[in-house]
Amino acid sequence: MDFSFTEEQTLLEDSVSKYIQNDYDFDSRQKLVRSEQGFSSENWSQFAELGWFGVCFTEAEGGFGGGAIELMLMAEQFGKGLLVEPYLATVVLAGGAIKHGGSEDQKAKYLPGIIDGSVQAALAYAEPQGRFNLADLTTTAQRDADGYVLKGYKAVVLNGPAADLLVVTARTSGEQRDTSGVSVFVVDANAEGVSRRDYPTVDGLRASEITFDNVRLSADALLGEEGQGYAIVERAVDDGILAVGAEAVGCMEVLYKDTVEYCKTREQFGQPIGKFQVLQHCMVDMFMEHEQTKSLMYMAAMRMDEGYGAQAQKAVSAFKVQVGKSGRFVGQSAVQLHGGMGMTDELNIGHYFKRLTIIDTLFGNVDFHLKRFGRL
Amino acid sequence: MNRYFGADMDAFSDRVDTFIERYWPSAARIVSHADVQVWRAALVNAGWSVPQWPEHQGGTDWNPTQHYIWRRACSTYGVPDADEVGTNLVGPLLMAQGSAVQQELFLPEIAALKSWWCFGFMEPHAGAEVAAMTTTVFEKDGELRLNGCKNFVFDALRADFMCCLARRDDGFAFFLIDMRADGVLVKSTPTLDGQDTMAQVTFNDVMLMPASQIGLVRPGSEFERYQFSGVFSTLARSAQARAQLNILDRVISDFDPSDDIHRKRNDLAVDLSVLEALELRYLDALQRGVQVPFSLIVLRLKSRKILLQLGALQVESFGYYALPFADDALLHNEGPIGPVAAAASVRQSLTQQLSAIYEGSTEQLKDEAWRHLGHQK
Repeated sequence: MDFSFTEEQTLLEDSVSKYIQNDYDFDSRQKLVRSEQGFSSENWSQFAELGWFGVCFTEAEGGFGGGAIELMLMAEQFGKGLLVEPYLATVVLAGGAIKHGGSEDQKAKYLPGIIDGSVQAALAYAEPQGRFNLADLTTTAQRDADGYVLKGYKAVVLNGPAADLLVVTARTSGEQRDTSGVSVFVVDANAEGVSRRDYPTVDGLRASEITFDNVRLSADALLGEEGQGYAIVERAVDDGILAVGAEAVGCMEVLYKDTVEYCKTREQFGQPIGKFQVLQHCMVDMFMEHEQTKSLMYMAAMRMDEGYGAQAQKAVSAFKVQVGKSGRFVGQSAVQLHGGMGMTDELNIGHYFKRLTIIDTLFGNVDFHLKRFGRL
Repeated sequence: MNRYFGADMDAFSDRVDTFIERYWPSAARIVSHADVQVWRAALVNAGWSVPQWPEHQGGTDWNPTQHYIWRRACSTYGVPDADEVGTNLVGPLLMAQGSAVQQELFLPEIAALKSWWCFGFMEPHAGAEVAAMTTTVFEKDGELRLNGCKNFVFDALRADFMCCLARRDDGFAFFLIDMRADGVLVKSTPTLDGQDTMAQVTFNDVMLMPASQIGLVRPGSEFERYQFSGVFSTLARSAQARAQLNILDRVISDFDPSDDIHRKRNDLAVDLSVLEALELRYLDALQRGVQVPFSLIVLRLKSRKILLQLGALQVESFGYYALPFADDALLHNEGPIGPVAAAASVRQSLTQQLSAIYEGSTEQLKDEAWRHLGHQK
């Protein structure tokens, strides 16, 4: 057993951590949130230059051969800075689906653009009726002489507005909730028949509702085998859970530390409020929630790197349950202990709280993953 | 990063399992007093009675992972603690602060599990507040005399010796007391699990053995009982919880799948995997000799929460069979009432309630955790 990181992993963590600390302050982040695009293209190019997008791809794919641990280390730092650049949607979700499901040709076609930062992508998997069930699809892809015809509607597609490429799940056979019969396609976001409605999200990101109106796809748009796409999207989403969960761990660390600092300096009734035992115990709980979630994060990342299967999925679901529970507790407590200040748009606290709230919902909330954990 | 202990540690783990399976009855039957005697003798023979002590004092050269594996196995098999007060508290205290004479007199006896120890700390009017304690040792005619009272003393009824915190003119010190000396009065305080394991001990002008004083606690310094209890006994509590969860799983396996108890069980199972992961992080730091990521209090708080929840969930799962409150003798002679697993469950969960209190209340631990966070009150 050894929970230490390799030299390369430590260097990677330091590199992201330094960037977030020195070049990604809260005020600049808020300006980006209010900008039209919602993130900075300049930052995006810089991340590509730093090599961050290639970390989790193999050398053959044009990356550096990292895995879940590297993803976790980066995402935890991203969480501390409430990063708005769409690395999750482009690299982890869409890039991940192509990596896990694509043929050599497809990978050679799409991954270089994602790794060098020239392509924006999104994974369109959720549907209004499906809640968190990845197989609950009414979007269909009908086979025809040239390939497929895609028809349907996708909900809350993260990074939809900026995406050049859409990775889309659709049913090619079976009933509405069957796991078999799900297929995954790579779709040009500007193809005829694709229309979007763009909007900001609660946590300062961008998303779209996307309609596919008889979009014509060539046969090579299909990732993997027809009808076998559920495993691809499940895998990409599990990577996504690890990423947003690690972000949540970063958020919680900022929140408990900032809260402790605040309580040591904020005076009421003639003394710093941190002198009150009730608040001390609450902060001990916040600290503990953070450490607990971090512990399950390590276990999930190690399981993922040992090999993807039921045990890895179970560890990921356990992690997501903890992320949801702890995130809510730490977020709400931070707001409570900051009092009125915690409610303001001006202070960072409320923004971390919002991000944690959204992360609980993303890819399935506590109840959803508790059930999955129990099934596995 | 990896979770594996490695081949040599796996081999050690197999050795431990084999040892326990040989000398400890399987969980399927109710354990008798004779079983405990056999087990203790086996421990002493194997040189595993005080593994956490230095080798030259009768301990082992185990690394932290081996200690963890040992404790984990003991919890999994439900093996009783050898003698927590003697081996975990008095022994280390003597080694740190005792004289050569004291060490020679007591350590071999403790290592051989020949003497039972209890710990005198709390007092009727002072509770755990050291400054308010009144039990006092003074010198009379060249002899040390002890007067006062200690309550909530665990194991006092069967103990041969007590390690007792008492006032001395220049502060507080620990005193080693022969429980059979004149003037020592032990009165049982029955506990809510129906056991006679706790007592009040009154000292009426007790003449102390020569050289019975160990160390001196500075007046005003914070004295924490749990600072003495072993790291490794805290580090493998998840195994105890895992064993109990397995019992629960057997009981609820044929319950209606829609019963809400399955959700509660899964919730607890996630919590348990949190505890296991916390323990491994702590162990990893010990094994690598680096700064631990958090204080042991975190593990204590988490493990007690899980064990208490588990107890409550067990009671819930047994339905009406949570009601019978039979003692060991009755169960041993006439067999279990209702499902075997239910027989001792309610009592066990009550006992867990008690042992949690012995470490300090949850609120006390949180006070301590706050200090560990690096922030003064």
